[in-house]
Amino acid sequence: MEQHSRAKFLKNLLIGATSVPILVEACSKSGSSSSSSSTSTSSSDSTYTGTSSTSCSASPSETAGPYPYDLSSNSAIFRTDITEGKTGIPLTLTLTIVNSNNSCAVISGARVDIWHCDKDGYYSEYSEPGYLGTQDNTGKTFLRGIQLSDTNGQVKFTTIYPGWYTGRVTHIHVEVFVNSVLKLTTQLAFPDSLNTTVYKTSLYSAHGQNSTTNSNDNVFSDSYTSELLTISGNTTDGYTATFKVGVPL
Amino acid sequence: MPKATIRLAYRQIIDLRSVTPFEQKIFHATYAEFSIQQQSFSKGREVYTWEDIRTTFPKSDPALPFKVSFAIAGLISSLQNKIPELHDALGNNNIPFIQHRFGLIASDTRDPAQHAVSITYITDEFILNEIIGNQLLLSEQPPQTFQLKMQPGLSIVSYLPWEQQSRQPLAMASL
Repeated sequence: MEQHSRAKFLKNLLIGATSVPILVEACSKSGSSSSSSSTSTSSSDSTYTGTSSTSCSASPSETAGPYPYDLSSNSAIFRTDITEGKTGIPLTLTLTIVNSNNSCAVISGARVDIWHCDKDGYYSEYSEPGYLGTQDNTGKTFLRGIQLSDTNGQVKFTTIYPGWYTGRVTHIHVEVFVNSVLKLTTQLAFPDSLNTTVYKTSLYSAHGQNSTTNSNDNVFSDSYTSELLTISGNTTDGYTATFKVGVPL
Repeated sequence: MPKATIRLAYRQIIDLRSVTPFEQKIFHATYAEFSIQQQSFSKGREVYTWEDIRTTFPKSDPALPFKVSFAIAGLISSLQNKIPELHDALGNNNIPFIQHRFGLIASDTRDPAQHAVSITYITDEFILNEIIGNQLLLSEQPPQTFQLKMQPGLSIVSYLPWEQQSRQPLAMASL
């Protein structure tokens, strides 16, 4: 079977990703633009405050209209739990989709696609090299999912804390479609110190620590402070992450 | 003595002319998903056909067909592992498959009539007992047999002569 070069794919992906304006949190100018901060809430729990603003929470709802076909019956990919048996520290991700052109009004009915690599840095679909050698994951769908935002503009995914692969810092890919039109392509970042903590744990430690950090990552380096998840939890119970995704309608 | 163990592949091509409910659902689901997912590559540029997209954005192949295939996973599950439209000599539609491959043949965001996809169903191993005329005499669980006519879209994709298999245990034993 043909081997697909992930390096080439990623290079192209990065070109694609950076060719679209990163509009996430465009609406939070008046809110927080802080980089992450960490405060201990217990001996083991950590809370990292990302860049989501609460200044728009009272805005009216907007609908994205009906979805063109019934993807909701397709549990193979239209799903909350995208784990598919992949091991890792549990991660619950809640994204709120808002209209950055209208006072951050929440958008219901938006289609949100996410995908990320497994704890060892491998994506489903591709046959690619990695620290465990080449893995052929063609035809597999682990750690990919689609949801439609609810009346609160929210989508929720249960997954695992992503691993990493050479050349990139930890990230989750996100695409948002409104009325079947791609409105946003972006990636979500994790705090560097949390990556370090997670990659020390037994499930992840075989891969060691990633020398690429948010500040020297070629996607996030100039923008990660506006793409950081707000995340709390611990390595035993897992993490809960939230993010407000600004989409210009 | 059987001739071999074989695997079969059956390729179903689905386009606007396809008539069965299953095919029509596949057609509409994949066209809608193509129209959505191609935006990740075209990003507003004036490329509309699958041919243009994969030429202009090489990364789109296989990424785009893969993403489009998400849309039919539920429909494929509904087949309960029976190859649609493939019947044995008695007209039974119960040839099992163990995996499938989705293919995006052609598409055009401006014209659904240009949209065509393929699904290739691959079987587990069957025992090929005989070839009778244009029909394969096959067994899934011998001594039961069934006959399957060679036909367009159907191909033998693996063939292991029976003699080689029967010698394998001896070879193993001699190690």
